[in-house]
Amino acid sequence: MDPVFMAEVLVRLLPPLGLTILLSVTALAIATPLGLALGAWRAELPDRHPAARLIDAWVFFVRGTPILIQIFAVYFILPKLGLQPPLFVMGVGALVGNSAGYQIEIGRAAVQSVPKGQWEAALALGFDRRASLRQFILPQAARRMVGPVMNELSQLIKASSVLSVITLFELHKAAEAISSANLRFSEVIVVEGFLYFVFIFGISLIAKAVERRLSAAGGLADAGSFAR
Amino acid sequence: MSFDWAAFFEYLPRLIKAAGVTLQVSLLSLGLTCLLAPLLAMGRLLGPPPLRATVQAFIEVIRGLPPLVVIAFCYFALPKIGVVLSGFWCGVLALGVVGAVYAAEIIRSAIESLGKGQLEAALALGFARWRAVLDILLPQALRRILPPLTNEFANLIKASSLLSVISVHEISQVGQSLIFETFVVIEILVQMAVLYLIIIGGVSFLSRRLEKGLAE
Amino acid sequence: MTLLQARGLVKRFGTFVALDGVDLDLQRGERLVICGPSGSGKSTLIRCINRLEQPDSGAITIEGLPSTNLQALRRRVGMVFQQFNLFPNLTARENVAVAPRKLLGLSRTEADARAETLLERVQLAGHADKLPSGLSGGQQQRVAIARALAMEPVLMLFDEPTSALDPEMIREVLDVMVELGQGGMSMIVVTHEMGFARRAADRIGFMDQGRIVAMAPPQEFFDAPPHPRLVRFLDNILGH
Repeated sequence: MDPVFMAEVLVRLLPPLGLTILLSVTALAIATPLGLALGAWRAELPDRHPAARLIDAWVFFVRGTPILIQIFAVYFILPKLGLQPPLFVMGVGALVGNSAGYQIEIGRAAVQSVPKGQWEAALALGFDRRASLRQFILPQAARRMVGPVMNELSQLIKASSVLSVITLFELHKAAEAISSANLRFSEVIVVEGFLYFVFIFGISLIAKAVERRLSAAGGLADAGSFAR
Repeated sequence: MSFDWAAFFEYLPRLIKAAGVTLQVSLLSLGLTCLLAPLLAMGRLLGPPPLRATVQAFIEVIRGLPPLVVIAFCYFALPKIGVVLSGFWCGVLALGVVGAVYAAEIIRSAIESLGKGQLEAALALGFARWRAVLDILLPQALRRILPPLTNEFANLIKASSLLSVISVHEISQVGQSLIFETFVVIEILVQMAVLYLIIIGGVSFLSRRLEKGLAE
Repeated sequence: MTLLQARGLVKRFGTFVALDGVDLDLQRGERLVICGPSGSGKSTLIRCINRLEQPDSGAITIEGLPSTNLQALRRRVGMVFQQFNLFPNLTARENVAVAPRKLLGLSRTEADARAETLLERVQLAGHADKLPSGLSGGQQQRVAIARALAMEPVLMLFDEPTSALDPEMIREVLDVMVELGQGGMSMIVVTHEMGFARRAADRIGFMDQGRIVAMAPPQEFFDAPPHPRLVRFLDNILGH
């Protein structure tokens, strides 16, 4: 272990770390409203509705295949369709597709976890279903979504490392390049791991604190998954 | 863009063989997970304070890393300390450890979710703490542990795709090299996706059955 | 003969003083009821006796011996909780049999036989195969009493055993406790059931702000309350 070299690596990995964060945050910013809205909508749709089937198929595909396959799909199929967007856009696209698929389930579960009595109370007051959902159900469901959505950000940071396979120079790809250029694998991996850990652990601490403040509402349990 | 069925069937056998490797590596890591997770969970719940802190730190560190980094660590860094493993066994080790860390958290939170009263009742009867956990709490927690644990198996299968970067010949690696070899893209991607959907879908189906069975 | 002797028990939770120097003696076969306003330290006191709470200072001896071995101590002291805390995955019989089987090394047959006898004693002979979820609150609490008795304790602790029960079920639990006391069991009961205290206690203690401020036989306790705060407490609880 050579501390001078490691310090050097740390500095060189900061811009790629920035890219990792930019990728994850951008994907979260798009996927969260999309996924939660679709999820809340799905909770209200009958199973046979065409839109419900489409949403279910998306969720099934996203949860039933590794994110690597989803990234390949974006990377190989878009050019076949005559589209050649920059790598960053492809990367964000793959992350959004994946994350929204998971967040649909978050939104849906949150809406369905609001007790039936709340619906009945709203309907009994004379609100229609749509107004009940907006006025009473969603605000309660929203509190239950906060923890899982924050957790989603660390999932995205982890998942973005897989974008290295399409040579997107985020943190993991950059670390790989540095280590194979210098043939000093362990030092680079330790620095890389440190950077990931600081961010992901930091987010989990914040998420826990927020969850605790909202715990009166009863957050949804952390799914605790590690692979996408 | 048309679908070439001839190409589809030409490459299918190679991918099915790769699916066998995917299953093998996932099952072996699951085995390692099942071995390590209870040890980690018990260390975290019952160990003397220094052990507890060490286990917790280990769990937090692994949880704070993308699985890809853990895989790279096992493959590139472990040889430095004299542990040289083939890509396959390296993958089993990395996935098994990552899986164990998450599974240990599942076990711990299931036991803690039983509430203080159960532990106190067992202690009041004269059970030592570790026996209370093993004899009284764990059997109760099992029904809360098994369904998410089968879900972790699905996660292991997904994560096994990452072993393509250390040239384990599982579905993703074989599919990827076939694509670059033949430029047959859609057909091979569809095969990869379908194989994963079958395997992971099967596991999730079992998981739901198990959950229902335990709920009764 | 003194069964239990506690001296100078102090227990703090943060800045809150739950026990503020409590002394307590219990004779073998004696039935002691402890009452007092909520937060007065009653539960903490009996939880310190079997060391579910660790007192910050003070000493407890049972049968003249200090309780150095936690498990050995708890095997000799039975405890019944306000919330029953039955093991939900075990039947009534298994709940009673589990500790003798796992801790005393009884065979399954022996432990089951002991469980059957005890369930009969708490009037639950026909319910041995039911899970706790299939029993009423009163029945669950009686199973919990049988479970504690299965370890053949020399002392039974009851932590508000009827507070979580519907009124119509309180009686059946108290009857079992009265009978237990008449059979010679040494008991410390934290409860607000003053009827039970009058009927079954040898002595009644009144706790306030972490101290036992009054202790007397039932007659004197109710007819000539030895402490002004006790007078107010009894007025509140009995006197409308």
